[in-house]
Amino acid sequence: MAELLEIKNLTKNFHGLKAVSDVSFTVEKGSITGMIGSNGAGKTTVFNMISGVLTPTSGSIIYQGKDITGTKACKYTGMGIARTFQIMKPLRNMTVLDNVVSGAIFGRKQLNAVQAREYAAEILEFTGLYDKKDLYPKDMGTPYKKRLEVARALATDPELLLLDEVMAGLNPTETDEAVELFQKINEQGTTILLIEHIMRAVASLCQKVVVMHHGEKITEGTPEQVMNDPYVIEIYLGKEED
Amino acid sequence: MRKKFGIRQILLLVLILICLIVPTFVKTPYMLGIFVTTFYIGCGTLAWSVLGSLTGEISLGHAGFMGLGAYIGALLMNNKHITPWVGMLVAFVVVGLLAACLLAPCFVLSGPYFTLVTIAFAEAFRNLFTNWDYAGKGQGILVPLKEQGMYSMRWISKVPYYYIALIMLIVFYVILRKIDRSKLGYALKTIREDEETANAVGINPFKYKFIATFISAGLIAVVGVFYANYIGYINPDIMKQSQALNYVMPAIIGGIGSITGPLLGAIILTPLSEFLSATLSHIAGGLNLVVYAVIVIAVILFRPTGIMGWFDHSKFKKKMNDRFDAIDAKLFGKRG
Amino acid sequence: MNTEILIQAIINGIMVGGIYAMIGMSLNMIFGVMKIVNFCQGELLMVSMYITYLFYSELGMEPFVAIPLVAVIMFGVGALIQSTMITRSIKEDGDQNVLFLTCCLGIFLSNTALLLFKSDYRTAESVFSNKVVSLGSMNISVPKLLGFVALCVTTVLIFLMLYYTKIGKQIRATSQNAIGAQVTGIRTKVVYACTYGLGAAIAGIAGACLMSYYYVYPAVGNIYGTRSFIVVTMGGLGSVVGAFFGGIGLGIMETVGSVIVGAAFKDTLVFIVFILILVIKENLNIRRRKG
Repeated sequence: MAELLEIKNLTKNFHGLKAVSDVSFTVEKGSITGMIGSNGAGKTTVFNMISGVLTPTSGSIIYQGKDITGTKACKYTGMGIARTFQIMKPLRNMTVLDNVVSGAIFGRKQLNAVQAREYAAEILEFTGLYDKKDLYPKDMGTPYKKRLEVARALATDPELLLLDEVMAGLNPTETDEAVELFQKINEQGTTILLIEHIMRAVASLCQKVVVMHHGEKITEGTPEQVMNDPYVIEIYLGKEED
Repeated sequence: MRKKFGIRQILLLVLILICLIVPTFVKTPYMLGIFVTTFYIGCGTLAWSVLGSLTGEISLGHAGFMGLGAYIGALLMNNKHITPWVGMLVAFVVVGLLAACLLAPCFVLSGPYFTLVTIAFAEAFRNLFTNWDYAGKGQGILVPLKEQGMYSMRWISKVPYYYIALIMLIVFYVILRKIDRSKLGYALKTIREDEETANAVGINPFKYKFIATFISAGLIAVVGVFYANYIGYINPDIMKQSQALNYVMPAIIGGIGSITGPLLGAIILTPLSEFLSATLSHIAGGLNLVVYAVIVIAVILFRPTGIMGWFDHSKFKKKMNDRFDAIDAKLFGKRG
Repeated sequence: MNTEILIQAIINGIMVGGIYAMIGMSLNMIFGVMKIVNFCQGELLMVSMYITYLFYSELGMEPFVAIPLVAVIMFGVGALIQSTMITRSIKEDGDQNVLFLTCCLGIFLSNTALLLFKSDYRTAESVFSNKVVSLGSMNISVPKLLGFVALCVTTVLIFLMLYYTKIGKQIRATSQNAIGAQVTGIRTKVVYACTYGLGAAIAGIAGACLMSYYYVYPAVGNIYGTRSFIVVTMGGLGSVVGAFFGGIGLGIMETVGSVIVGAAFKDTLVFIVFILILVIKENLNIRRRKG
């Protein structure tokens, strides 16, 4: 498999404080890659750099063989990179359908408003939100709002989908449904990079897992390898005292 | 979206027809004047809505842009004998571009800070025009009634103004409806709700805010040209912040966030304010505006989403929709 | 340019700036704690000027003597406005409603004044009006000087109140984090009402001082309202000390500006500087946030 995204020596300083330090990893085309780590490990900062919200202090982001470091945030959907936000940002005064339309209209497909509405309806069907299309986000529960975030990102027709903790706060059944959805998305050829805390979901979804701690990448590998890594266990569960 | 001809369209046509024949029934200049004022305030509110409702950037400096338009129209006519019709076009482009360029560096400002900047620009313009010889300084300028007719857009009768204002209102409304449902509209609304999300789906907020400011300021400058010719006299006071509120308050009452809301607000509020000023202001000066302000404050406190905001979430809307659909079905049979 | 004229302009600027500083401070008080920009601050000043005028015309009271009374009354007015109206319209999503509400309150207040007092210009003669102290070749008007003294006293009093009284500490806590303050048992509603009341009271002091050498009419709030925004932008939104220097800065900018560009265009100069400061500050902020 070819590399879709390559992160090289990514570093981000906030006023001298190192939030992310020298992180490198790759995302294979067509794969699902997970990023795990405790709170404040710098996962979201990495995401923000990959999606152009933040500019790295040093290091580079290579996407489809092209250096895209420092590109303006609004250019990413055109290149086929879409993201969701950890803190949900539904467009409050727009219906569920319109939320997704705004994704469709400015995404890679360059649709006009009418086509975008049709495409958005398709996406809603796919993500199981179609019967809620005329509701406003505030009228839906958290699982659906999270789904809406994914639907809006998906509507931009991404090659690479960045999901920032979209399963946090879901109960086990809902998590399973979400896992199923992401597998379906992945089967259609979309590469996924996700941040997640729910290990069960990570284990069943990801081919590769990157573990971060204190802004550094400490290891990567298959979910089994990572979960049996003594250092990872130490970070997650604390050191066994002897 | 299916487009079909139904009872809603028929009702709209009837409404427009009624508007068209009003001058044959309403003869007094005073009553006609209320209609004209309602129409051009409606236009101003719609123009403001491009920024205020769609983009969520509250401007209180639109009176300044309207004033600029009024001065452009009047000065072109008075000094160069160029028809206000061309003046409207010039005002649209010049004021639109000027406003967009001046406000462009301010797009980074959020919420009340942007509002403050718009006030500051309008006040700066007012200060400049108050001291500018060419524009008649603080006394302002007259648009003399030398010749009546289309070319000078000057008439003694109010009927022509009635039709111009009505057509302007319809055109503005159609433009806004088009924007609302277009790519531009989606961009603006997404920016309004959340700028970060806008970026994330591929919208360049700066670009679209620039376009919105251009359209909004340009359109209100056109209203300004009309105003100058209709009133026949302008001075820097038309750029005051309190004048800007004339275009903002209808939007608040009608409901910010939609296109129909601000228009509806203007249609309700302007005649009301004219009525109040006719009945109350000679009892005691200022009483009409006190009552007016109390009404608007009450709406803000008790119905913060305005008439349309309430209507959109009410059962009444659903009922009316169902009723209309039923009539449609009866009139035209079942259609796909 | 003549240095003497310049120095005189600066002195005048500092004196005028005293009033600006005070009204800026009152705006900042409200912004700092409630995070709302109060668009009717100028009108509150206007109301307090009329109250001072009433004390003068009905009871023959000296404007400077009326200061405490006006401040107390304005505190009540402010607390009432806050607890009955502004509280209702503060929403999590966006501050548009508060903006509109305070704007409309401004219209309401200025037109009520028009209703009650007509549009005439009214003055209140103080024993100090028209008195001037001379320092060498420099002249300072006594009422303006007293106004400046009142500003200094007010600033010190507010400072002491914020740092050494219970309610002051509660106000500071609430301004840091309203929810956090609530959790520790502070009744934020009371704090908000007090804060808005204090803001109005400071505007009241400013109004009483202003009345001794300026005239009042229903639309007077407009001038000072816009000025107050400029002051807080220059000095930093939310900072009481900032407003002090912002006000004096604006005063100097106006008087020196009118020496340089002419009195007619000083407003334009002020507004342009204001916009520049806002935009530059925000850009610096964004850069800092991005690290």
